[in-house]
Amino acid sequence: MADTTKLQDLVGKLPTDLQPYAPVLIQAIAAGAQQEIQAAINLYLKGDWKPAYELAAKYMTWQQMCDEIKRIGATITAENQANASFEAFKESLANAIVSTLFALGLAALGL
Amino acid sequence: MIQWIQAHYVELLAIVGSLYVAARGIVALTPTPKDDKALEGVAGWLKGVAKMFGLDLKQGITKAIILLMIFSFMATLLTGCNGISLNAANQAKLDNATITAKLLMDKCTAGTPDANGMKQFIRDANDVLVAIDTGGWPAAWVSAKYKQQIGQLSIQAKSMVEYMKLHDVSPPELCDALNSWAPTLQAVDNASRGKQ
Repeated sequence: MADTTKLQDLVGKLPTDLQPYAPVLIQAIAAGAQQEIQAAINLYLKGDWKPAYELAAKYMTWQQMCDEIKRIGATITAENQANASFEAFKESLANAIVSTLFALGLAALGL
Repeated sequence: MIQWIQAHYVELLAIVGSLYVAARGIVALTPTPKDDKALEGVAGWLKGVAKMFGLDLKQGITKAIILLMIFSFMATLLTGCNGISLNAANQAKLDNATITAKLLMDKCTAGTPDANGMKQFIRDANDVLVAIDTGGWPAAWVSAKYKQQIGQLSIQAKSMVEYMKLHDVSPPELCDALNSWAPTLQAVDNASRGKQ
């Protein structure tokens, strides 16, 4: 019971971005990696996400790894779609501006 | 957003400058004192921004217009050539991995999974992502999130390779892995080419 409360406390204290990895980190605690987790979380809070993610990946099951790869792929797709549409918007805006300038230039030259 | 502005301030300045020039031209055709007053305010602000980025617009409005027109053309060129390309070697590795993934997926779908091929593919995916993560990723990539996601993929690939060393992974599990890798590599490939 006390152990369960401790785990719940730890999960509650995890930074928001690491909350989805709580089940994996609990597996890591069960395997005796509590100190590693604490060190990784401290680094995470200082802006270095890699050690915490590496630790989580180390204790993931095969299925969890597959799900994680799918999640990252979906995020890249969403990010890329937003970026690509913004690039298209910029391109059309730049084209419109250049066309306007060209027309103004022609008008200024009396052509 | 701030990072994007820092990376593209020249284009933004060009767009703002071009809008000013265009507005100036339109007002010249249909002059009203109110419009002129408003544009003078914009001009002061524009000069301030230009000074901040080390451009001197004090040469007079004609030179400033030419300068801004040059920037406008540069902006067009930049937006046209803004593909977020990987270096050629990494792009080739990514292409090969994406093609291999598709071939292996076909075998899974046909019910004849190639376990050794799939294990080799996961090792190859690991090599590709490590190569991209450790230096092949363009610094000018629009979002820092991409960089973190590639870093995470690289860690996942390494983790899978380690897992395969310790456990006997069955063909159905390998097919599941391939099912997650194939679309993900395709997403990375699309992003690297600036395609949706």
